[in-house]
Amino acid sequence: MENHSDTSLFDALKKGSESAFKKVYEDNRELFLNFAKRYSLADEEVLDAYQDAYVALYENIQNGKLVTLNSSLSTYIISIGKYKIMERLRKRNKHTNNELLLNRIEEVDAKIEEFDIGSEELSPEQKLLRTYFGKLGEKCKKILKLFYYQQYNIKEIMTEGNYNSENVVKSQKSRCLKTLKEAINNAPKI
Amino acid sequence: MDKETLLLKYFDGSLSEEEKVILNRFLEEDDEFKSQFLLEKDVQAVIREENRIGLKKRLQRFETESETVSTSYKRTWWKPLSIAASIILLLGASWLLFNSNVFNGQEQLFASNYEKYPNTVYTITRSDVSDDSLERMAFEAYETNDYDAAIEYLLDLKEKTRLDYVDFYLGQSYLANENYLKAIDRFQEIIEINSEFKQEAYWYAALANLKLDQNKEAKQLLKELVQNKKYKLKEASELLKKLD
Repeated sequence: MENHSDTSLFDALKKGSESAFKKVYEDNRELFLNFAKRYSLADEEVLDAYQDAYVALYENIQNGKLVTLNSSLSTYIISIGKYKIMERLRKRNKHTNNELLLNRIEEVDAKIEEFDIGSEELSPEQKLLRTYFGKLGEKCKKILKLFYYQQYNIKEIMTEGNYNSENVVKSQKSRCLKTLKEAINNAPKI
Repeated sequence: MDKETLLLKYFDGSLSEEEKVILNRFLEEDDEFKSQFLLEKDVQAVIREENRIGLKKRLQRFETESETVSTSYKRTWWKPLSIAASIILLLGASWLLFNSNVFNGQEQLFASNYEKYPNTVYTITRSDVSDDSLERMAFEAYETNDYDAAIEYLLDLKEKTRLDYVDFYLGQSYLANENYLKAIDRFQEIIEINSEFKQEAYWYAALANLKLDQNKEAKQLLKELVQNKKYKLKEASELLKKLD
């Protein structure tokens, strides 16, 4: 149902192509900005929402939540974008009663509920963890990224990282986690 | 199954329903297991955040890149040359425009302005393979350019629900099927009920009128867009100029 070029762009995004990442961003920019004009958000906020929506789409392609394209890429971006716009309207209208407007945005579609589109801020503990994560060696960062972000299983990491056996991968991963855990436990209490 | 494997399978997404129950029981009963699980969840959240920030920076770089490109254009020494080039282009373009207007003005204006509005209301995801709702079928047909089917499903949907976007996409489908009168009808309805697609409806109704040689009506609709300044402002004012 999506056109040919959409499918090939999607495949390229899956593989992490830099030029596809730029092309899809630029191709949908005008459409999104036009679409968002119906909501009363400042231009910078709209652009920010667009970027967040685009990042979320890319994430869900990378982590395998979006496996096959069932709509055009533009449609996905707009659907996610609506949530991003809603988040912003909600933040701003915390104290005013704008329920009606928000309901209207929400009812339009909810068919991407399998996606990770949340943008909760990190908790203080997580922020601390982030500092320690930044201090890990490259090898640790890579293995943890493959496992927790790209959702590779142990076997796939073994091939990807040229490890000798699955057990080596497992113990390497545990060691990295242990380093983080110890750093957290030894940290001054927040 | 040991606890380590259970966690591994949780994070690579391969837990069975049964294993999910076991995992949940451990989480309730075993504090050590729970704190390990939470630590790993936190690691995941941190990595995700790192990645998001990195991606967003890349996008922001695209924005600044395109800004510097356009400003450096203005500063180049061959500016006079580029002016000369644009004059030639302009002459060429107006010659083309003049010629096409003589033969088939409206047709040309329609073709250069018409683009089907994308489906922005209904996302078809893989989780809905079993979803055979009317909405899904309607938008599947719409996205595959099967407008006859789309019209049928949308008409059905219109009877059963009161969703206002149905009229808008009906109008789109009629327009794509070259049924301009019916398209205008649907867009008029959208405008009257003040739907969230109102601005878009002005634009597409104007295009449909153009196709029917009803320039007066088309201009009226375009003027609304220019006044409202919310949608297709540039295109509408350009089109208005050409119609005058």
